[in-house]
Amino acid sequence: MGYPHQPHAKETVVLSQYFGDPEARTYQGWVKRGGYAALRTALARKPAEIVEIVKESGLRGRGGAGFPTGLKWSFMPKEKSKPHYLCCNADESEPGTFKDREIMRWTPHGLIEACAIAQYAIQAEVTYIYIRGEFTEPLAIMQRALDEAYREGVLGANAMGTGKRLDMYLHRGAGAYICGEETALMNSIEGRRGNPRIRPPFPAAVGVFGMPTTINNVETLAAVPHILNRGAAWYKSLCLSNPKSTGTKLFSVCGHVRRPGNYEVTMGFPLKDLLYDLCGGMRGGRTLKACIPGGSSVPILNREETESCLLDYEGCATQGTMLGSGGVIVFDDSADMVYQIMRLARFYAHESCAQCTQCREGTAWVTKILQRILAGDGHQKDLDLLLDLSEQMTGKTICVLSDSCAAPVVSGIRKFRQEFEAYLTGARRPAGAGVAV
Amino acid sequence: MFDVRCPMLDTSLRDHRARGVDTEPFEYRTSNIEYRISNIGHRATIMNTHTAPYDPVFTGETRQRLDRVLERYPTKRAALLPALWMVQETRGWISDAAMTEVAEVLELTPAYVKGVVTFYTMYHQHPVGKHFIQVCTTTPCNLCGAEEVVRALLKHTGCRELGATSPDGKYTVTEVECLGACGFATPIMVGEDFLEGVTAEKVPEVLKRYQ
Amino acid sequence: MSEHELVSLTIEGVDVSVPKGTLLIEAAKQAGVVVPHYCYHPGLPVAGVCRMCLVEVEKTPKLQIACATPVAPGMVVRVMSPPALEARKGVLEFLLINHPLDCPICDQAGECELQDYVFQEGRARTRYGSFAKRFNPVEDFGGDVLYVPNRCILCTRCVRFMDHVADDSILNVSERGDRALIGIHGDRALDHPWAGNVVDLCPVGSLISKDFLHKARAWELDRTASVCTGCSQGCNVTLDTRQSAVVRARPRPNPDVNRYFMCDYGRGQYRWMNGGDRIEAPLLAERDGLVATDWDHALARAAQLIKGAAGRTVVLASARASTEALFLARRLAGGSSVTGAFRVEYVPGEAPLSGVPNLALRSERAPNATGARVLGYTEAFDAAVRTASEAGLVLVLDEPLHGVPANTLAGAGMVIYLGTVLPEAARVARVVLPIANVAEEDGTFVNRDRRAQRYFQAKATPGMARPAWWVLGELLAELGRGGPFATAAEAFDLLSREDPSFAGLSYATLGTQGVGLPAARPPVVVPA
Repeated sequence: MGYPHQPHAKETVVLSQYFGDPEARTYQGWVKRGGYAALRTALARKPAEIVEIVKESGLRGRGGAGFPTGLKWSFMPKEKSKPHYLCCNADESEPGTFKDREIMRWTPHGLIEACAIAQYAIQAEVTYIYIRGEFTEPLAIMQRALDEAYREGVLGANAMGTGKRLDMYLHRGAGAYICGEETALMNSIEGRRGNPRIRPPFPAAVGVFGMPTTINNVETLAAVPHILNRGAAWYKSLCLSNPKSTGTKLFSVCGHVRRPGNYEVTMGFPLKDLLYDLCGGMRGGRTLKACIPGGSSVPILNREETESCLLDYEGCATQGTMLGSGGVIVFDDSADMVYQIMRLARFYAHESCAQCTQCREGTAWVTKILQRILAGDGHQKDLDLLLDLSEQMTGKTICVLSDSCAAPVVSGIRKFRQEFEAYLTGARRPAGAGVAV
Repeated sequence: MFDVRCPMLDTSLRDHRARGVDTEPFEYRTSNIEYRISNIGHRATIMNTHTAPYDPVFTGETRQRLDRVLERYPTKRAALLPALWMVQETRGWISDAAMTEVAEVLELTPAYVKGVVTFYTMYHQHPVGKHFIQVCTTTPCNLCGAEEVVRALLKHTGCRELGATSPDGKYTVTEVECLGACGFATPIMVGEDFLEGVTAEKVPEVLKRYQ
Repeated sequence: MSEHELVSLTIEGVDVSVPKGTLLIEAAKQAGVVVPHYCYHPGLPVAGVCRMCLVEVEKTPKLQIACATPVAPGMVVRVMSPPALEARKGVLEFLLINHPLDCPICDQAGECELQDYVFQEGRARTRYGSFAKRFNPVEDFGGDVLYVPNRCILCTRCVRFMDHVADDSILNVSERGDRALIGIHGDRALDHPWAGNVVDLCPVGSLISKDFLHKARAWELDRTASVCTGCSQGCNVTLDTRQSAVVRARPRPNPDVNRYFMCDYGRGQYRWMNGGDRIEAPLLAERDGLVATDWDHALARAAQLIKGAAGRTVVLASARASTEALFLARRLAGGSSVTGAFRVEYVPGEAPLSGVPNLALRSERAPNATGARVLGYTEAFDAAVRTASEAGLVLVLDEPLHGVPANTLAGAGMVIYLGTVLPEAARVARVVLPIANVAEEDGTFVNRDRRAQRYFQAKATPGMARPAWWVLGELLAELGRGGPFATAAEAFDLLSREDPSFAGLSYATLGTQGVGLPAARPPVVVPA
């Protein structure tokens, strides 16, 4: 449902059914709504069967990369020789994205159930739910739900009375965007700086504490109980466009729309309908200028591209962007694209972990150039320099943070060059002149 | 930083929150309005560590809490982030001496702990105002007027600039990168409280609750 | 055995076969190509962070870092292809935007990998423009190390060395993004006994030695392979000399002894080698005391004394003397009634480098105690000194008399003294023969693991001093018992012929890395 707004007829409500329903937060309330049935079913089956069902459903990672979830689980060693771990990635920090927060705030038991199923499927002893440090309320709600789950015997030494041991802990982050990258997240759990690790080895071989590990996004996991309850075929049938993208997806819409919030639609849903129907269009009768459909790390779309974009992995790729985390940032015709792109670059410069040269130095340099342009001191060749630096920052580092910084810069210059030119030629007044503190 | 220079990238400042360091002892208390985390909220006093002998954090009940946290992980190192949170809850910030204590408790070195503390922006390496206010100004909130909120906060708290503590020691206002509530612009954090939908107009009313 | 399995691949058009699991950067060396790199160091765990070693691997869409990519059969690797060069040029430009370019006052200039690679494949002009560079003040990390953060390229070699090799995390990476720098905690200085290695590991002039600060420019230095004299570990070192003074000792890689490292105590050893209190001419005891003479007279007098000596001969040696000198001294003393003893300082406790097996600053603080033992010397130095009074001849080699009471040899028989300096106790000598120290001669030491290792002459001898092997060779020739020797190699050849412990060895076989002596044998029993 379109939390915090009324549900819209075009939504397909699965994960968001109980958003805004405080009773669903409690154990009793969750059970009353059919909760923990999927976990009971799962524990009665073999782990490999669950992996197969998830594979069959076509579920793909909702954190940004879109990797098939069942396939990821199947990389875990079948013959268990050492401890396995599941990490639930609740470090939601991608600008424009706030869906996992709502899942945790409203359906904490749903997430616990989902983690428990995944944990059993990959034969893990322990799940760590890594929640970003700023999410104080989701953290408190999740902690309360976890305590309840232990008290009610859902978790612990005799999970659901099956004699199986399932442990689950919250791990609070402390302010670092990069910890949402799976290997950085593992380092952070281990008590290290949140530096991404070089791969291989992949987490399924050498993960957290050096043990086989699977890391899944909150929304990815949250879909699993529904798949078990209603079947892989049902989930697979939720598809409006490309059969490789199935199920529902929560889109966090923010920026210049009339009704920002989370909307759950079936894969392949038109972005245009999301913005104009579900979100009520632009504020104050303005017109759409640009849209970032998958969180700040993906290329920006102009109006035409936005209006023809279908919201699934392939649909976004067709428009030269990515579905990413489903954080939709909307810019109307009043937005200063140069300034906003600078803000994004500044975000990445602030969050760079400092390991790779291109990222550490490049993100800051790009920010400085954009600030120079905004101050009216830019040179014509700055745009070429930005494009060249972006090229140097793409595909050459351990993780994709520097690529993410380059994406909005490159697409911004390509699609909104006239706005950059306006600053360079002096046609536009330097930004900041009127708003300096 | 709305003039386009941004102090955050001004590397001569190792921590832009460092300025306005308060040397007088003052009360640190998190609020219980809005969303209060159960394990936060007890009172603590920040001491001027330059003169007072170091008073260990991990004794009595806090030590027992840490011991329970240690049971969750196969290594002691993994309890570092939780341990640092406990220090910050107790003392309001993480001093060099506290890093040494944490290092001893977890069998790490003080330098290692410091490397971790400086990586995560939520750990305070200096005392901050009684109410530490973080305003999200990243793109989505920026589009919705987050910078107006910052300006209003600076004006109404009396903080001269971002990162500086107000003369009465009550407030420190900083910008923060994406708080993850972009649809509820503008979110701000006051200590551990997470407030949504703050506008410049609502700032005086918000500040009334944090005196 | 999988580790012996060979993988064939092509690097820059050269076919190479390397053991499975080898990293591209190491395999490239076999093809004669050094892939430019900063964070990679063979003695440290791979970090893969500087991104300098990007190379093109055929059929791989993205460039790969050679330091973290293992070889695969049939791989075709291009190090100097346009995309790889372009990427590395980009990295160099990024590294330079905040680099101060203060090479004229930087100790690293001339041996700086940033200079080298920028010169080799960097961009001629920066595009950074007028932005201010990052500035942080110089920090004294303690020990011998200064940190100049502005020059730092965050390769993290120093941090990885302390974390994983020294196993003592005194350094960290602090902050993040472009504010990051190497940090330390106020409670603990960089006081680890092996910490000095971070200066060598630093590829730029960011971590520098206070001891070496502004002493010399890299291009003025002569470099000589040597062996550390600090303890019986026998770390391979390079002595850097400038105008006949040793100004620095640095580790010389040897996988079997010290890998890439040496301890701070060993680093400080070079100082005594420059001592100014040297004996510069042979001295003969005359009525007025010791009087300078030339070598012919001195050798003739010494030979005469040896020929005329009756009864027991005592050889008092230092464990810093070369194996050749120790051998020749015993030979000179004659076959029968010889007591050979050496003196060595022991400092309780060892300082191991935990990340390298069998590497420590040893409590036996001399380089050749094992060599002395193998050659039949004992540690019963005091007992040997006591017998000196009954001996017909006392031969003193190098500096065993350093720090002993002045009257130690007061009642001894005829004393012939070969040394670098003249302590009070040696003034009873009838003949004083000035010899070279370790930095001034070729020779060998045998380390605690019975590994014979050569060291090379790094600077000129002062005055008329000569290597001990030369002096002893001349004396042996006078007595018709071998010698003389034109080179240390000839002296060693005699040793290898005469002493089974050294059988089959020569300077050629020892090379620069040394060789273990044939299997340990029972100690040589000196006939009574």
